[in-house]
Amino acid sequence: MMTFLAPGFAWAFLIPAAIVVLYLLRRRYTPRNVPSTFLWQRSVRDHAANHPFQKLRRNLLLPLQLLAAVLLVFGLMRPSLTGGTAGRSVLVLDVSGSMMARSGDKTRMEEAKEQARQMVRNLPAGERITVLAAGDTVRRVVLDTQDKDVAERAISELEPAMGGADLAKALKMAEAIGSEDAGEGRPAGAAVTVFSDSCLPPEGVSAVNVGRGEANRAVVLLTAEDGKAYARVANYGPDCTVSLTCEADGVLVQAKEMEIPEGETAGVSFGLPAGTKTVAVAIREADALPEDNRAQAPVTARRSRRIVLAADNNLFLESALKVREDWTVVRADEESLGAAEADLYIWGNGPVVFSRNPSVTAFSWPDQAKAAELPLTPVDGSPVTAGVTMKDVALREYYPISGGKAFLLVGEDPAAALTETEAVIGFDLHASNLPLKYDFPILVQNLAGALLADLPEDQGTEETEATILMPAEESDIRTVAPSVAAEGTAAAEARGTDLTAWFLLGFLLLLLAEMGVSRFVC
Amino acid sequence: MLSDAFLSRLDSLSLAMRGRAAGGAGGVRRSRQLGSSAEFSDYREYIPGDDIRRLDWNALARFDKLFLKLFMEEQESMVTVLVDASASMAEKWTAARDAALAVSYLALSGGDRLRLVLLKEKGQGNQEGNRESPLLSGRQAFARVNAFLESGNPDGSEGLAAAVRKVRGLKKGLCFLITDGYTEDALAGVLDDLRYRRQECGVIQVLSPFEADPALDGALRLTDSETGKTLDVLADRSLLEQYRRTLDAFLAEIRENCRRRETPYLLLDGREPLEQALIPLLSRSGMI
Repeated sequence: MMTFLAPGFAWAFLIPAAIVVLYLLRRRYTPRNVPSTFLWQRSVRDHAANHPFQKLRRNLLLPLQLLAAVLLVFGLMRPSLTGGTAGRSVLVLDVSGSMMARSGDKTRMEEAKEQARQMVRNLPAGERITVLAAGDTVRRVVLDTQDKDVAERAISELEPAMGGADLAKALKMAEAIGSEDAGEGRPAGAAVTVFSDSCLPPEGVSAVNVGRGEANRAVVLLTAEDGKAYARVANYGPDCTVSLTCEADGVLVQAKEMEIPEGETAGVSFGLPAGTKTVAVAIREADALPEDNRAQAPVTARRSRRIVLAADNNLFLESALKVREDWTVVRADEESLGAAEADLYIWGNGPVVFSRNPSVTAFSWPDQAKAAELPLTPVDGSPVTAGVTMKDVALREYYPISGGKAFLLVGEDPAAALTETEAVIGFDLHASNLPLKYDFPILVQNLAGALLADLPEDQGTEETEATILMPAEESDIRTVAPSVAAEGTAAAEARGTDLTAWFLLGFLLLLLAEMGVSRFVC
Repeated sequence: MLSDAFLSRLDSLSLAMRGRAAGGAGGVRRSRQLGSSAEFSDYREYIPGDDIRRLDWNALARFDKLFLKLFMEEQESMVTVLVDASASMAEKWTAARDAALAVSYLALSGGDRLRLVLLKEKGQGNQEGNRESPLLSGRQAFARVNAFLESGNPDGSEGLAAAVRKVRGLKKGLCFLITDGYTEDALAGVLDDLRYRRQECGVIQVLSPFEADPALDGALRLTDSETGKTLDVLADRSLLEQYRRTLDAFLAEIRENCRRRETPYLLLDGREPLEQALIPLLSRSGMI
């Protein structure tokens, strides 16, 4: 079946119509007096006699020109043959709160559903269709159906909800679904398309972005403790300046203005009066989705923590711990580790143990370290590795850890693990470049915080979601909205054959033929 | 209007004629019957401007009319200048008029009798028909020739052959036809008609520079100044080339018709000033 990637150019069919009108309109002749038309009559008669194909030329030119114009218009509309061999398609729809934003006369969700339904209709017969809804959790709405009506109905029933969209997990699930074909006599892989208002698709995944250009800001993070509130504001639309207000126990205490570039976040902190119990931060300017412009959080009193560090010369580790002002880091040697009372004890140079109990660990590891032939990778979903990428982290050797729940892997071997009260990093930090990475202090903060029960998810409220703790100057959200045409091309190319080039070639050939007739058939 | 310098150049020239002179008195054209003595030949009526020494007073006394004596060895001939005065000649009327003036001067200064006829067919813009001058002779009649041609207005409709047929009183002699040749009636028929009426013809065809080399472009509605008919043309390079070929064929046809009838022919196409081109052309054509 043929579809058009740029149907908006259909208005250009006015051009062939104009060609016909021009032919129908009588040619305007300029009057000119001559002494006699005697010779002109003979000339015209002889000219017609010597050029018998003149009439043919006129008759040929019009259809050639019309056909060339029609081909050009079709070329502009970018025809594409959909279909082909039926395979597997996974449609991931973003059902996060931002999809409730209005884009013109419909919401982003409605636009996404419309495009998703259109895509389903254009799929070849027999295509196996899976629909995933990506919210805070990823839900499998339809799995491997070949009934397009079922898929379209499922898409129509999706509704956005307040919260984020775990697109990374959704893409992993899509990848897993696609790999299920392998070994069953069918080609592996599925064509994955994400419908979202903020998606940077990895290679091999198509993205259909909706809701381009509308102003939309959101308070994505709000925490408050010990007289200070910290908020993070994301800008999903064009560059803007926002005015933020901070209310302590319902009383306005401070207002600030900040500029946020498109697709970035910015952090801001507010001072709170003593005794404040709840804090609310709101964006004053209205936008496409006002529901996410306000956040509220309880003020938690931060208790000062004491950490004893017995790892030799581990300045990186010490610096990473000292980032938190409410953590006091005390250096000690391993022999006197248990002498001082502390909330957390850290000892060893490889492995490095973090424990609430001094010198006691439930983990075990072999005597001999293993050479690290694979890079260090984080375990997805672990609270310790939230906000870290562990990109290009290399280590010389490691001790595979037994016990606890792994949060770092070397291949399949746990290189670091965690329980409720202790954790271990199974390699010498000096023998890796991890301390030099930007991820290191975040990892240490998360690890120590988890053991000290300071994980971000313990502090959140129903109205806020703080998934990443980063300094205010960091940008943690990027939004890319590739052009619709590029999206369409990617979609079409994933599904069928783009015929634009053939139509344009046809137009050029007809143009050549028209020039030939005009010049030589006369 | 011809310049005095040009007219003095014409003084040394004379019209050439092969046939027997029609007769008359006082002409300088030699007849076939040249004798050594002045032998009385004939009478004819006196025309103002004739040599009064040749008046026959006896005939006056007898008939109460002036008659001239004619002698054998000195006979004048009749020169008729037919000027096409159809509307198509309007653009080249000056050239046609000047050619007629030159021929008329040659005739008068050669002692020939001269008659001019403006050939016009009656039509929508002209109800007059042909305009004829009286018989003229002697150089002093040249001013009258000039006045006659100045008063002429090329506004006749087409129909050269019919207009020529309506010319009365053509006596044997020389006949110069000045025309553009744009006639549906074949020019050959006109020449044959004149030859039948004992005229020794010469054809002076006149074209304007525009007709010789039209510079037209685009979609044009050509209106015939003679007939008023229109013709829509797309004047592109191809059609203009065809027009030139058609013109060359047309001129060749006229030249051939004249050649077959041993009729001297010359073409005035306006590319050169007339006073510069006319005498060589008259000479080459054998008219002088």
